[in-house]
Amino acid sequence: MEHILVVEDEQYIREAIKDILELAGYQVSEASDGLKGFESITKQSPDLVLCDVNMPKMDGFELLGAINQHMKDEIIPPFLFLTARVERNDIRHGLSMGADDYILKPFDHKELLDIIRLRLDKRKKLLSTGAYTDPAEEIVHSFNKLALPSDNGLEMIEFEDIVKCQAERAYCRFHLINGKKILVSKPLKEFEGILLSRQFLRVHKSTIVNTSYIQRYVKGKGGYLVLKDGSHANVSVRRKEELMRVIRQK
Amino acid sequence: MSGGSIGQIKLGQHGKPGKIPLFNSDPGQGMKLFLCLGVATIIFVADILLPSGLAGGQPYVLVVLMAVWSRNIQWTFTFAVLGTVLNIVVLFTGVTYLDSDLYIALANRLFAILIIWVLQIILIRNIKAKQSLEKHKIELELLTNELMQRMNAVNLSAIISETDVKGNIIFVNDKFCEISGYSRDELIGQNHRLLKSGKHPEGLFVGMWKSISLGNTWQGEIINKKKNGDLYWVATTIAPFKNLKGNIIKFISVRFDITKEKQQQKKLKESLKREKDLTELKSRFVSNASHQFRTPLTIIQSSLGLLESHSEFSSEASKKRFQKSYTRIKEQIERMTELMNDVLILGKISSKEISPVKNEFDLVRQCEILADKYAKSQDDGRAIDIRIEGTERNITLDQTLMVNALSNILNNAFKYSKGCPNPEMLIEFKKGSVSISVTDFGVGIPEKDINRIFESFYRSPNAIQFPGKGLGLTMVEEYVKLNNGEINLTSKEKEQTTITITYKTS
Repeated sequence: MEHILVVEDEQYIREAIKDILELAGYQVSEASDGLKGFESITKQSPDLVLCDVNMPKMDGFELLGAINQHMKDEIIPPFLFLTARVERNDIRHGLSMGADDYILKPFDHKELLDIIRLRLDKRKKLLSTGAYTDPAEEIVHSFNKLALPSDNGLEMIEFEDIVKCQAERAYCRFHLINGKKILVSKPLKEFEGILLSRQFLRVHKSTIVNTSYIQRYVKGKGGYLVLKDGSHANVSVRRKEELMRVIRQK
Repeated sequence: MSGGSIGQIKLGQHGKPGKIPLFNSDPGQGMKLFLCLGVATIIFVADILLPSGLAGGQPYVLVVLMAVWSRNIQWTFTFAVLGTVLNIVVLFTGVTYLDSDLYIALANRLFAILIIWVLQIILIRNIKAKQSLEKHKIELELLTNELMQRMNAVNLSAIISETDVKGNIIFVNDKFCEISGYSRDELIGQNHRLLKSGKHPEGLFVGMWKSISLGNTWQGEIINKKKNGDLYWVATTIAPFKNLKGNIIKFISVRFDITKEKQQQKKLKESLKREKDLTELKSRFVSNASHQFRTPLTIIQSSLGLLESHSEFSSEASKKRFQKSYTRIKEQIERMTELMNDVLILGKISSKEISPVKNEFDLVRQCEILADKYAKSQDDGRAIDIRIEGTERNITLDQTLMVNALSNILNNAFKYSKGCPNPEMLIEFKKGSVSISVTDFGVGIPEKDINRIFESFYRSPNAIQFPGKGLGLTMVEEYVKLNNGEINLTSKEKEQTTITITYKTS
């Protein structure tokens, strides 16, 4: 039985959708906000996600962004928005984030079932032929927040708020421009791909800095960087050259 | 008077220096002349009666001198001529001279005449010089008077001060004292910095000094501080005052109090901002309302869907019975959804969030496509007849907006003419414009409703039997306006309705 996750904060709508889908023979699980949706997707890996946009804690757009980032190397289930946000810009935004469809509320239940069937069949076919394409790099890139699974739950951080990221054994610490620090119980390896594809640079085995926050470089064997928040970052000898190149470019 | 002519002295316009009258109305004048004539007569009589004449004619000079006393050029001249004539007359009459005496007398008389005329010339010059001096004096007085009056007028409105080259105040007018709240004694000798409010960047004053020190006039709007700490705005002009050598010796500044204007400007800006905020609020409200209405509608429709799914398993008869209700509810939900969509768009248009994106397209082809689309959805086989006048050409407009407008018009044309002849469409390509007219031969619009037909939610009483929301034509009008077009409607009840939209083409 195919498994569908419904992420929707409005209880009645969620229940109605659940009943419609169950009647149509799907296994349905529910999440009442974006954060719970994120957990369900990562833990239960449903076959399809039906997601509202306006939700507390984390909205649908952010959820899709976080999923794209987090499951970069996995197969992301078809992601459908089902929302009352009917304005053209919202529709465009949702689709540009990589949603498979954008369904407007109120919806016709038969149409919804048709769309879901279509998406599930497509996925099945792709999975069986193995010709599944990864979410395009640019979609991941167009999402300007980083989903950090901190101890307080998933936090969405704007990339431009991050000054540097410091690895400390099995976890890592993100330093934000507002002075906040976020401890994440995951190795730096988890995030380096996303960070390094942006304006970030590795200056040390355990340190990645945001190049737009570099204030000056103090010479030394490897030397160190003074960042905008006043903190320092040691530079290793073998990464010095690339750093110099980046600084010169700026 | 324009500001440019302040202080500029115009000669002979208002206070034209008066002509000095040749004949003064001096009461002693007649007496003087009478005396002159008397003296002249006595001298003349004595001259003739005395056997050897009167000392060679020189006494006539006395007459001329007396005439001078009258301070009158013409009389002086007249007496000079008189003296000359009498001298000559005496020479040729009565008096008998010895031959030698004759020559001496002749020489004497000629000498006397010479003296008379030399004297005459000197006197006339003198008088003339005096008169011109007086003329100048009067001119100067008039000018001074005019200047003073102008200065008074300026002093009433302008704040005037003078500073030395270092910026120390050496003169202020009353207005200056009144506005700044300082007395004249407190101001004189102080540096102009005293009035600085600190609200301007220092660069402004640096630039000002640079400019005026180079001998240029500086103009600007400045906030100054009163003695009591209040601030006031002045429109300031500072002009360097140069001596004849061209060196700057002081600066004159003329300011006008523009505090009120500035306050009004600020108020105006605030109210403009408030209006903008309100528009935004309205747009956000419409957007939120649309979103909020959709949630209950979604609950209704999805629950309905659920019921419908369940009824799939019930008997054929009850399924049929329920189906009717489902359809009705669904239709109404759809109607409300559409209504919300329209309201949302109208809200966006009124808050100017929609701006046209123009592109070139084939108008006729587009009209044909639309006409075809609406004809197809008619179940009575009606279609639209298209006629084209003028030379076909592509036009540049926001195509989506044009299509939205025409769709609404075509929809109406079919809706209100069921069982009537086919509606007609006329596309006219004119010089500089193109118009599309759609005519239907249906119910028409009562005359009294034509003026209100473009209002939101207004529906003509004879249209109540047709489904509709009362927003269609409102939207059409907005769509057409956004494309810089015009819309016209003519109608005759129970006969026909024609809607014409005209777009300018370049």
